[in-house]
Amino acid sequence: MKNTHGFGGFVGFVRFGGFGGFVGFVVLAAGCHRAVAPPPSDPMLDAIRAEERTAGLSYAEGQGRQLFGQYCSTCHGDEGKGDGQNASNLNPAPPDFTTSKTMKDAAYVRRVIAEGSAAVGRSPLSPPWGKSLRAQEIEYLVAYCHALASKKS
Amino acid sequence: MREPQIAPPKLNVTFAVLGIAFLAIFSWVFFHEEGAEWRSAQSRFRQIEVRVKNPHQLAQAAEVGGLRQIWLPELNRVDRCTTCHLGIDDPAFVNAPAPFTTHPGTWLTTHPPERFGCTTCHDGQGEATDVEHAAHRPTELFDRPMRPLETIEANCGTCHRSLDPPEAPRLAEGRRLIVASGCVSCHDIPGFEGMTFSGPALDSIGNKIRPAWLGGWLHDPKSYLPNSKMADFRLTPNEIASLQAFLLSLRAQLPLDSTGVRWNRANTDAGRALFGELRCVTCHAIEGRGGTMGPELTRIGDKVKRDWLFSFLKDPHRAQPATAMLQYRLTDDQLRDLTAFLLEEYRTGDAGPEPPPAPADPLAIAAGRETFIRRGCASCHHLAGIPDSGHLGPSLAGVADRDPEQLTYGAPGVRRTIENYLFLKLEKPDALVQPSLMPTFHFTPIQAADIALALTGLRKTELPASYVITHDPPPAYTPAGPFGELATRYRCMSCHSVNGSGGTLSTVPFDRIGSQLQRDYIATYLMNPGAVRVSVEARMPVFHMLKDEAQTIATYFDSVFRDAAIDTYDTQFSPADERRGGELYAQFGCAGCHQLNTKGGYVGPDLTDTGRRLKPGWIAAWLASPEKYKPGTLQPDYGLSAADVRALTAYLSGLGRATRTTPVTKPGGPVSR
Amino acid sequence: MMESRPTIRQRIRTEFGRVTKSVMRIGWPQTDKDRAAVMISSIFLHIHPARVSKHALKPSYTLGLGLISAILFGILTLTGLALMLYYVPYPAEAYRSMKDLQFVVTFGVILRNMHRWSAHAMVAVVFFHMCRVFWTGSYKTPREFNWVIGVVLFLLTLLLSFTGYLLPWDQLAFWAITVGTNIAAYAPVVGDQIKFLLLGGHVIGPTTLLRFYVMHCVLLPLAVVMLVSLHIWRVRKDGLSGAIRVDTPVAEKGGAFPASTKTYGLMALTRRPSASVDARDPNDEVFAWPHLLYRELLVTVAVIVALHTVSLLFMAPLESIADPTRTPNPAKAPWYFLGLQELVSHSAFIGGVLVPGLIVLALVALPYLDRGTQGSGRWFAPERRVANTIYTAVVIVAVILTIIGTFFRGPNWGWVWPW
Repeated sequence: MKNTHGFGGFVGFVRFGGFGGFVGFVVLAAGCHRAVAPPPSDPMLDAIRAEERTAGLSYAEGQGRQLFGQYCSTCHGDEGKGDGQNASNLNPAPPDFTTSKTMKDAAYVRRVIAEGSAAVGRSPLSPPWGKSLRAQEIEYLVAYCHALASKKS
Repeated sequence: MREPQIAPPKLNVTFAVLGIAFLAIFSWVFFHEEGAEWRSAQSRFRQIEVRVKNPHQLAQAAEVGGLRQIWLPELNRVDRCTTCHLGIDDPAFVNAPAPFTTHPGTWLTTHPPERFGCTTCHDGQGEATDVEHAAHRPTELFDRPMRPLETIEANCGTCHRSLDPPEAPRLAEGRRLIVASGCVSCHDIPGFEGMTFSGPALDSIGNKIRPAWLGGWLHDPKSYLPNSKMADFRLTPNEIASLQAFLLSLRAQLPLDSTGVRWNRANTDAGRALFGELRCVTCHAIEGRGGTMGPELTRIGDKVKRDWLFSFLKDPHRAQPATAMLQYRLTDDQLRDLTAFLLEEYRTGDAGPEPPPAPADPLAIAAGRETFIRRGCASCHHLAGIPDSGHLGPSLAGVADRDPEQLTYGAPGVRRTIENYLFLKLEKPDALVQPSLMPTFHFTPIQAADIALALTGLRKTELPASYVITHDPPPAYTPAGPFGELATRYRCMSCHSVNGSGGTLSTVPFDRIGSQLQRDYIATYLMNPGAVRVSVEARMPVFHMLKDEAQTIATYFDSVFRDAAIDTYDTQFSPADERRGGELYAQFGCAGCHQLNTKGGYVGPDLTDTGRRLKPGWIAAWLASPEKYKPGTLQPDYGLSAADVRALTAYLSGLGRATRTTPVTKPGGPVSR
Repeated sequence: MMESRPTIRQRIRTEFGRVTKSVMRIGWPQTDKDRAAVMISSIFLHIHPARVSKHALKPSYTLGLGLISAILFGILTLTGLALMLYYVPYPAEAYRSMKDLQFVVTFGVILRNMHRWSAHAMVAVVFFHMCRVFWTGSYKTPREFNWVIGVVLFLLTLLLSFTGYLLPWDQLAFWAITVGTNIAAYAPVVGDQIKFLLLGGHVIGPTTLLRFYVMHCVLLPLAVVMLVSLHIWRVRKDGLSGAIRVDTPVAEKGGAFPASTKTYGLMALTRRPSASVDARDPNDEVFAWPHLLYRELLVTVAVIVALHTVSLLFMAPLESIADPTRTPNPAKAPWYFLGLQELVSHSAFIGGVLVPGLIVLALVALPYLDRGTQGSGRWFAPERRVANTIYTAVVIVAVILTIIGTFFRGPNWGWVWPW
């Protein structure tokens, strides 16, 4: 049963408002009784939240992690520590994001991802992704990089 | 004389009281109207606007006042959210408190509000102008309260009907599971029309299966294979016994060509070597590691009979015409060794000698046949004489519009929403409605949630065609002629695709392969496929293909799968181009990912032999726009100028030219025979 | 010196006085004659007699129920007219206009709430008014026919409320009307035809909405206005029951109109040649202005205040948009039909045909069966014990059935406790 009604409770009274006070009183009691029931559970939402809690990441960061795994982790490592399987072939080696201060600078990170590390005066080994990834995907990556740098280890 | 005819003083007091009450209530009505939430929100917004904007911006800012709404007649929606969410499209409010903060991400760019509104994605009551009625939280007031971000992807599915909607991984995973779990076999699901899910044909299962294994499998498939595609049908012991009798009686004649095989001379070491060389793990997992296209082989020795396995390996297509498994070109001795190795290596214990077929009880067989039909086994398994059970389960069209109040939830205290119903149903199909024919899939909670989320997008709502993004399944590609025969034998289309039709395991579709690869390279490669990219684990099987066959395929590719746009590239490069290309190669840091003369990274393919491998036109096309040819590729689009592309192409197509006659060897590739 | 010309101020006052007089005709009444003239000269006040019985002024006698019904009807007309400016009688649009009223239209919420609550209140008040008339025996001669008009007005009130119930086009509306029209279909012989006529088809659709809209806004209010005029006219001519009667005409007293010299021919509407003014005791009477009108004003203000309070505190319900494929369980008729629905749940014939048919028939025939004037004009007169007992029993049963149907019936019309 659904009611557009300002005060939680007087369900019957609202619908049959003109009916009579004595009837309303009965329902008032019922309404007050109902108001103290615990909020219903949302098992499906709980399942997703439990999953995201394991990762300890927000929605955007979780999306970023997936993209990171696809595009970045080969060099930067799964956890952004600069220990990807290809890292040993690179000179200079990829930095450890978890201790990097610049990783928290969203504008800087966005620029490096979109235009490549050469664009900020570093080596050209980190390529530009601005033409391959959608802007939203880069935002997710920026969010995940921020999460990596903020992680307490 | 009578008393003067005036009203008694008592009535005057009443009049005064009522008059005051009247005035009070009337001012209350005005106060009620004037004190609307949105008005105070707008005045708070003005205060914040002064703080976050400089005078120039303020002068440019539009005056905020009154109700604001986005009217979408096509979608039959009116969204008044922007009455309070005033900074939603203004980056200046990025740090402003709710409800004035800027919309995160670039969503408003890809989904402009004037076309999509707010509630199209977020749900909630867009017509409302106060917090409570807008249904920001689950409420009794409105059927579709705003979605929390965790489940918002369900609404992406309303418009994005393809299997893999962009930027909606939950939804994509849910849809993948719907296909992979075989939901489509029993349910009619909009958007999944024409998709099929099938288990192996069972016509000769009596010849294939060791009887001891079947009972355990029917009782609990996951006990044999943790990621089995077969669901748990919660069969009773009686049903299992009768099904067993029925299935074991199915002994359609197979060409069991193992009569002359001398098993006592089987060499399991040779079989082990063969197992590695053929790259079986590309499709079959061992101990959970490896491909998923074929069944996991960890305990194959417990399951199948020796003669059947030999026969199947020799010609998989006769036993299972629909299988994705290719037919290797192996000798009987090699097949014998491989069979012996598989059965010896991958089993839990000594299964003992295969027992002779038990005498069949006609009553049990009939009962098993009845169970087989009743539980819809034929929806997934082909069996001659028994028609496909079709969609045994209810249609899921518009399932999200079912009245959540009229569904059962199994437990008290569950919020009555369609999502929760679907979730609980997927987790424990028999807990809500008993008896339920739906099998238990033993989904993890997150899997059940993802499927429920994907199904929640299935609404009856008719969308204008301009909003719907469909992805029609491509027309099936079935090659003909000599190439067709080879493609069927080696099951090329299990992994490779043409025009979107075919497998997805390979990253190399055939569409323009004749314009991409040098003809000679194709022929050589087919004879002994190695790894082009070391970092990729799924590799092309070693078919033991004949030279003629390889030539046939290479010629066919070179003449049929061409792309004129690539072929017309001018390949007369100047030495200056080539020199400059070398400089660019260093400048862009290509060596970070690519090997060149044993120097460089492992991410992309080894470029040492590029000139021998790739056609120049393709190099240029690929460098100019890699995303166009392979969405999601790791090759970044550098946004190169045509001149830079030409220079790099000149440089790369010169690589390996001098070593044209030496055989191809690649680091990490399989040792040739 | 010449006599000075009137100043502008004086002239304005004079002109204003002229205009006022043209409208009001009589100034502030100072004498009994003026008071009577006020009543007689105004079309609005002429529905009252110049003098009313003191007995009729006692709040405990009439409880003001008829007046309150009329006030509620007035409020319903005004709020209804305002709502019509926003309402579109077409399914999805109708629902949208409800949302607009709730969220966008200035004072829209109050307007709709007031219309809703006064409609419910009117059904209840008209019913109580009928009870009052019965319990005081006021339907007796010469008021038999007015009782019949009252019964028709009660039915029209139910119909007005019922037709209005569909207009929001939400789930509540849709299914209440579905159940209500299904009850109507139980009528013998013509039941299905009645339902078809009401719905403009076999199921509720756009035509139903349009029909209900026209009935709600035009046909039924017009009928009510005409019958109420007749109803009040008869009250004014017959006087209120319970006044002290005298046998001989009384001579004119100081300043007052003669009470006994005039006769009023009423064509065929009354059976008596003259109205009853000649048979009343002037000592029992006071002038309607100010005694009656002042009290009426107070009641009006009180009703308005009460309605505003209720409308500010309680929102009129609005469920999700009507969906013929989603049947709520249970689907309930409007509350005033829930007694009938409860009966129908036991027996379609008894609840849908027999009981309502017999009740209406009995109510119409009542004044012609219960003759004489014994016990008229007093609450629960001992002479009328049998009649009052029967009537009260029927009312109690109806109320109990309605309460059961409203609060004690859950899914599949099964018994539930409301707490």
